Amino acid sequence: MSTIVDHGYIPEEHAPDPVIGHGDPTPPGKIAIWMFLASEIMFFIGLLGTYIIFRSGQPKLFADQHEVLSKPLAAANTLILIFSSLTMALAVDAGHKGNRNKVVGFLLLTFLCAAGFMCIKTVEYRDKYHHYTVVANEGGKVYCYDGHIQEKDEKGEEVPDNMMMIHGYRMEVTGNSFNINLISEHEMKEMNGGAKAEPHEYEIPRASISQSMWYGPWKNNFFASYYILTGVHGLHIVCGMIPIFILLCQAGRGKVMAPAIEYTGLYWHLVDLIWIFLFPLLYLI
Amino acid sequence: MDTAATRIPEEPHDVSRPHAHHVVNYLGIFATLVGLTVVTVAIAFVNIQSETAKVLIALFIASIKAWFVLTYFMHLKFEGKLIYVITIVPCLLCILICVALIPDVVMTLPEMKSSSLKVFNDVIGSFHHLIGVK
Repeated sequence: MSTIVDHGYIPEEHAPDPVIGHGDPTPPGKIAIWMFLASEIMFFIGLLGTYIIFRSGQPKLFADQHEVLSKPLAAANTLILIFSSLTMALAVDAGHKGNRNKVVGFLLLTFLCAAGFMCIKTVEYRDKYHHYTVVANEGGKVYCYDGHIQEKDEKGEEVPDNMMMIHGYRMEVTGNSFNINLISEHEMKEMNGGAKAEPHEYEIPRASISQSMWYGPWKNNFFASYYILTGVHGLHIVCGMIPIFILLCQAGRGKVMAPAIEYTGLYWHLVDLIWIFLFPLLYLI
Repeated sequence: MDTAATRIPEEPHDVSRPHAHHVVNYLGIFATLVGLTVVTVAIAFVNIQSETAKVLIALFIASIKAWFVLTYFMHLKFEGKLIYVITIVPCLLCILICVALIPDVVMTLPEMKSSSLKVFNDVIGSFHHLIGVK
C-alpha cells in the first residue's frame, strides 16, 4: 500500500497566501491553531489568577495542605508528559518526511503516555477520595482523625457497618478555633511527633461522629484550586487523546495527514507546557 | 488514492516547506527538560525559608522549560512574524493579569495589611476633607 502525504495546502507559486499575501507561507490552519492556543493560555491564566489570590490569602494553608499530595506520582507524570511531547515532536517530524511507520509508532507512544498520565491521575484522585477528616465525641472528649478510610482491619476482618476505620493520625480538639476544613495531615503529623510520626488504625463508632469529609474540592481553597487546575488539565489530556487516536488510525490505514499531526502536536505541547507550571505550583511549593 | 497522490506533487514543493528541513535535536531538548525537572524536584527538598524565593525559583525554572518547549518542540524558532504576534499578545496579557493582582496580594500580607490600610484610609480621609465631608 502506498503512503499518501497530504501537505494540506497548494504550493505557493499557484496560490498566494490567503492571510498575509506573499512572502510568508504560513498556512491558515496553523494560524487558526495558534489563535486557539492563545485563547487556551488566557483561559489557564484566569484559573492561575484565582490560585494566586487564594494562595496569597492563606499562605500557611497552602504550605500545609500540599504536603498531602504525592510528589513521586506527580514527578512521574511530569516525566511521562515530557516524554510524550518528545514522541509527538518526532511524530510531526516523521509526518513531514512521510515516514508512515514512524508516524504510527510515535503517535502510538504518545497515546499510551497520555493514557498512562490519566491512570496516575486516577490513582491520585482515588487516594484523595479515601482520605477523610473526621471529628468525633468520645467519652466527653472531642477528637479529630485524619487518614485513609479502611474497609478491613489489621487482621483482615471486615469493619462492622456501625464503625469507621481510619488509618492515620489523631489529636484532641481543644478551644473554639477548630475548623475541619483547615485541618491538614501535615499539621496532624506535627502534633503526633513530626515527620517520624507513625500512622495508627483507629476504630470510630459512627454514632459518635459529628463531622466528616473527604479531601474533595470543598475541603478548602487549596483543594478547590487543585481539583479545578488538575481537572481541567486532565480534560485537555483526554481531549488531546481523541485527535491523536484518529490520526493514528488514519496513519495505520496509510494516510499520513502531516498538517493535522502538526496542529495536534502544537496543542499537545501546550498541554505539556501548562503541566510544567502546574507541577511545581501545586505539588512542590 | 491515486488521484490524491497526483494532485499534490511530493518532492518539488516539499522543498519550500518551512519545517521539514529544520533539524532539531529533539532528544537533546528532552534531556534538558528532564534535567530541569530533576532540578525543580531537588530544590523542593532543600529547606528554603523564604516563601517568595521558593515560588520565584520554581517559576523561573518552569519558564526556562516552557521556553524550550515553545522554541523547539512547538517550532516557534522557525515561524514567521504572524505566529510570534499571536503568541506574544496572550503572554503580555498574562503578565498584565499578574501585575493587576499585585494590589490584592500585597493587601493580604500580614506586615503590609495595617500599613497599606492606613495609607488607604489617609487617602480617603484627605479626599473627604477636600470635598468637605465629615
